Amino acid sequence: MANLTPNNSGRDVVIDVRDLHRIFETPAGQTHALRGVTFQVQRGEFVAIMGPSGSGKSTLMNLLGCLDTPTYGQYFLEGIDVSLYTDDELADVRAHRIGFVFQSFNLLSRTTVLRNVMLPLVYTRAPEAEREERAAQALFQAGLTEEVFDKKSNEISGGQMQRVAIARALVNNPAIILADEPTGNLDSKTGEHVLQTFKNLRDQGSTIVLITHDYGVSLHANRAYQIRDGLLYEGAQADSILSSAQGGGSHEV
Amino acid sequence: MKFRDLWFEIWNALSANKGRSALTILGIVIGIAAVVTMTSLIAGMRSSLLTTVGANQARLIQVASINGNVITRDDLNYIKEHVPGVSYTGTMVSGEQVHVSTDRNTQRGLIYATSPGVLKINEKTYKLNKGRYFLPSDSDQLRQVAILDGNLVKQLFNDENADVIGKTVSLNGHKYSIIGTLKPASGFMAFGGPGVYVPLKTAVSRLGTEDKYDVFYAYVDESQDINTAKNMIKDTHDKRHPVKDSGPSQMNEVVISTDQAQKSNFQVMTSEDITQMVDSITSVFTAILGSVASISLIVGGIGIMNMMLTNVSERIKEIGLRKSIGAKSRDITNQFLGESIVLCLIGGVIGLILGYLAALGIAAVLSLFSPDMSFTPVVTPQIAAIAFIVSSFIGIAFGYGPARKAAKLDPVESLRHQ
Ligand SMILES: Nc1ncnc2c1ncn2[C@@H]1O[C@H](COP(=O)(O)OP(=O)(O)O)[C@@H](O)[C@H]1O
Ligand SMILES: [Mg+2]
Repeated sequence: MANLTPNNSGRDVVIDVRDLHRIFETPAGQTHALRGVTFQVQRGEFVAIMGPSGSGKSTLMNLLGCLDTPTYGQYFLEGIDVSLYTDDELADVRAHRIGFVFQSFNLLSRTTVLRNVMLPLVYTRAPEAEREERAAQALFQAGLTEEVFDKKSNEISGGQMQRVAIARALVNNPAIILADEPTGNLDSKTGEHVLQTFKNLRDQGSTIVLITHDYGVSLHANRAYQIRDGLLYEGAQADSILSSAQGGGSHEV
Repeated sequence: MKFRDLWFEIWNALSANKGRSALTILGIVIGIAAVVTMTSLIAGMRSSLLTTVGANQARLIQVASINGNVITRDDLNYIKEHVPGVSYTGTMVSGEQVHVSTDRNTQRGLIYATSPGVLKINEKTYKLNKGRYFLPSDSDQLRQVAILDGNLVKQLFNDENADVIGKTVSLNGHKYSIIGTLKPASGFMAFGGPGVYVPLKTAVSRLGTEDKYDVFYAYVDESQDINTAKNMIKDTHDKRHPVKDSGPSQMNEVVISTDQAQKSNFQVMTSEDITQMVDSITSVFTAILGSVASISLIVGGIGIMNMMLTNVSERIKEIGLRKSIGAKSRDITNQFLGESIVLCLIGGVIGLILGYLAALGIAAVLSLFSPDMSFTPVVTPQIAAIAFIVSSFIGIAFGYGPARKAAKLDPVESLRHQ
């Protein structure tokens, strides 16, 4: 894969996506959700991907998270082409190298906070002796304190829920944290706090890709892309989203 | 996914849904309970029946007249002298109802004229409680001695363990001295009422018992193979009592199906034959009742499947989440299949317990109506193993489909669910 390694040598590339396409076959016909997306994310970066509803954000997120495979194009995760992986291999990649944060938190409701965060350790077969310690560590990193550890996950506030989800994403020390509209279900103040948590994680060395339709949210990132009609553009000016003729206002990466 | 984690997840999911889990296994509980009730009743009857007919005596051969032909004391002596390995022959003739009285009390009992040794040889059936069995001299000297069944002792003396050795009872007015008591007969053995046993020759000469029999026992010692002895007894006996040529019809309809269904006036059976005969009767019951029970188990299984399908569709989002954090299809299959198997096994265990309790209850009610027929239901290890295997089989058979359905869900679709 040496010849495929990105040209900007010396930098540590976590995500390297080349000409990614995703076509959905529906009864109504084909939907070309991604039309050739190419971009990179370096280790330690906090990147925002912004775009209106239906633009292909979630589709891209699912591909980056190895929940889905591209129709064509290549995806190198830490230098390894995962576009041809089998389902079980992809599951292993998700377990060890990817942490998801969803808009709707997706916690197991009747389970305690601590158990929720320990769940991914089940699928990486982490030694039982260290699970609780690792989960607690992740919860601290996500800005939570011990009082919530033994609460059922449906007994805490929305902001706390999202932090639990962040801790769950962190617990296996993934190469990348993928967050799809993580503040979408939160009020703006709580949302700010959660975003601050992401920034703190970035400062501690995590690599984060955050997907949002909210311009304000993207301002917290180091770098931002816009996605429209399945095409990715660099930059995040608010007006460029509004003035959205095909590909206008921004150059393709 | 480690087994311990799998177990934890299964247990968590089931206990999160206790009410529904309980309802779902009802079908399995009822099905298994039905099977266990019936099989343990049948097993209990079987063992009671086997004790009664002497199937617990491996060295004993029973010769029964099947054609109205009578056996005499000469026959007994002849067999004992001419068949190698036969060290004892004896008989027991069931006689009339008699009045058994003490100075205070009179009861009815059934008289059994017994060769000395017959009780002793069948000691697992006729358990000695107090005193002794008959001696050859009791019979030869026409002693007026009796052994009483425990039930009769209880009726006469208010306590089955009463110390009555040496006391006198009168049988239809004749004085007999009690030399032994037996444990109360139960089950089919107690059929016909409590018994009073007297030496054969005494009964013949003093109580008018007929000196011809329709059954006798031969005891074969360890030097001789039991089946060889059985065949020799049969041949010897058939030669002494050849079948008179009375046409082929009559006898065949009386012959109970054993391996030697040729023309003969006698049926010669070892304990193995008796067991087989009893089994062939009980297995018919088992088959009929088993098929009824299996229908209820299938219904229970469909209930499980229905619940598992609901379970899967309610937890689509959870399945998506699990996949997103690295669960493989296999992990999801194992979890849902495991839930189904564990549910069914719990149902099986509850069914086993309830089934046994129900069998105890039924046996108790039966013995109320007919105390002579009392027996204890038996849960054999085989019944327990079958309950275990059947319930896990149902768990697998009816849980596999829903589990595969869960495992095949597309992670993206499932996360998007709702
Ligand atoms: N599984 C699918 N089947 C068919 N069409 C899909 C599927 N997923 C997404 N799409 C289509 O792809 C386009 C992009 O969707 P999506 O990535 O969900 O957008 P966003 O997350 O930016 O709102 C939309 O037109 C959507 O209808
Ligand atoms: Mg979306």
